[in-house]
Amino acid sequence: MEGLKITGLVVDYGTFKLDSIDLNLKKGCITGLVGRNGCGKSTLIKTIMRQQDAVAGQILYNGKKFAENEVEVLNSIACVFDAPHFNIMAKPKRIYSLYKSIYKKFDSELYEKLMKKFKLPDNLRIGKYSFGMQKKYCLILALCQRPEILILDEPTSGIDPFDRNEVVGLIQEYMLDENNTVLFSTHITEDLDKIADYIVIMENGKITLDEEKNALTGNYRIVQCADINDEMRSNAIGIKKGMFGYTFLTKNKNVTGSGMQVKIPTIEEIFVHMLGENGTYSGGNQNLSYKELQNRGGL
Amino acid sequence: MKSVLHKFIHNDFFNYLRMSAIYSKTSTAVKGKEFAEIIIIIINAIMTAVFVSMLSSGPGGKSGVVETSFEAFIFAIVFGVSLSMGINRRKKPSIMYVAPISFIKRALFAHLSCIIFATFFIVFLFAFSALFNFLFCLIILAATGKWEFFHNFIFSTAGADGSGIMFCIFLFFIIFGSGVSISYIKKFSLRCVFMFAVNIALFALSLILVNVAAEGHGFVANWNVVAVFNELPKSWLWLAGVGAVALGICAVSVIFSIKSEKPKEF
Repeated sequence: MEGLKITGLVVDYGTFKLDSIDLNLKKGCITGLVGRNGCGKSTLIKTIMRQQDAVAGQILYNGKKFAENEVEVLNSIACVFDAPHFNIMAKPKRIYSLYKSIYKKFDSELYEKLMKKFKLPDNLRIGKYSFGMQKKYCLILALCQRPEILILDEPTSGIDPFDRNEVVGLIQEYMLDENNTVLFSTHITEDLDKIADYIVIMENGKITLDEEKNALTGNYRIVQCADINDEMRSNAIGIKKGMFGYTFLTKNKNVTGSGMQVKIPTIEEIFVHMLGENGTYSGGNQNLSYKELQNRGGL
Repeated sequence: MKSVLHKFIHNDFFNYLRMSAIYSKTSTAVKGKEFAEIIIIIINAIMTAVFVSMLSSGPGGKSGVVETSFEAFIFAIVFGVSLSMGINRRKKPSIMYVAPISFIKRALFAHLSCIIFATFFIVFLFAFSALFNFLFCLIILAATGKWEFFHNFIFSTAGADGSGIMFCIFLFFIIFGSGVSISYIKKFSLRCVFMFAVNIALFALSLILVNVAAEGHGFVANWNVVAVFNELPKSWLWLAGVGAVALGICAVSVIFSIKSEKPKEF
């Protein structure tokens, strides 16, 4: 069952448009959302969180409409936005008491535990926290709400590698409950390699790829070679020429050749090769160049 | 005792109020036509200051001489802030919008928090003004040994009776309620028309009150709105009228807010 179901969502800023977004976030799964800066990831998240009005479309939260179940939906969803959504001049103690009174399921024990774990000082105003500390604090607040749907807008950006690992671990821990759903938007695709179940790629306000991570990485190979012939070129996606030869993505899992290195790609490699300047989008049965798809209005 | 106080402070009502206060503080940015709107808001705030200060200009308008007062600028700021709340509302996310409360509570508490905090602000303003006058008089007395300023202080303080202060608070409600109501008008041009309409109404009110008020002006500038009001014949009747208008405008603002906050499917 879908934790979050988005159908035909259209958001129009005038200068930017989210166009016909269809997205199903399954319960018990982590969906990674990747895309270039300004592709509409944060707009999509704000629209899901009802911080942005849409022109058309529908969003169902655990199968429920927002208008008819406003309080229930808001109780079941938590979000880490790209910036804190509360007064950063307040001290954590004040925000904690506010959250505790607003969210009936707020887990005080977990709050204390995580504050200690991330060594966040209780006597410092949140505005005085570093960017990474603010992110961690927002994540703590979101997790302590015990939501069924957790939306994360770059939760690991600005966090040091050690704490990033801890954050990823926390999200995994949160997913032990199979009723929970996570949408994880990030530029640090390494995190998605570790925990994501599904990968969604956005470009220019549209979803260009929505696939299971294992199927996605399993279906492609990243190839490094000194030279490239016409046959290889015809199957290659996003050919990049470097100092030591060529790198490209291919759907041909049996690709072999002398001096050729073939490996399973990471999400980052898939992302870079698919959306690079000469990248090729290979969704479904199509195998069109990225630019070709754009010209045809497919992207 | 502590737990009773703790319970009182941490009940839902106060929590929502605190959340609303946080919400007001968090919002800052704007989207679309923001520059033009900010300029128009500043023009309107200055106009509000002028018209409120006309209330301070003494009976008969004193040949149109406008006396700018601290109080007038406070009202100008209130109008400017309440108008810009409309711009602020467009800046999300905010804790107010993700907290699990109904849209009616959200609209009501956003208003209540502003009104309660602003009322405290006005009371503080009067208390601060009185204290400032008192200290000023003390310094003059110490420096010159003259008692005339103290006489002036007592006179001005006596001018600010309950009805005068209530008038100021109602005037604040009118300006605040109008500002917030206007901020909910979606069409930019219509929003601008209403901003200026409030000032025309304020101008008319200033003319009426200043002309109806009796002779005998001469208080410290900060108290002038109150002083002019206190000199009105049957000032309590006036107060009731102004109060009714103020509450009506605030009610309109709340209704607009509830309408705007009502969740819609896209």
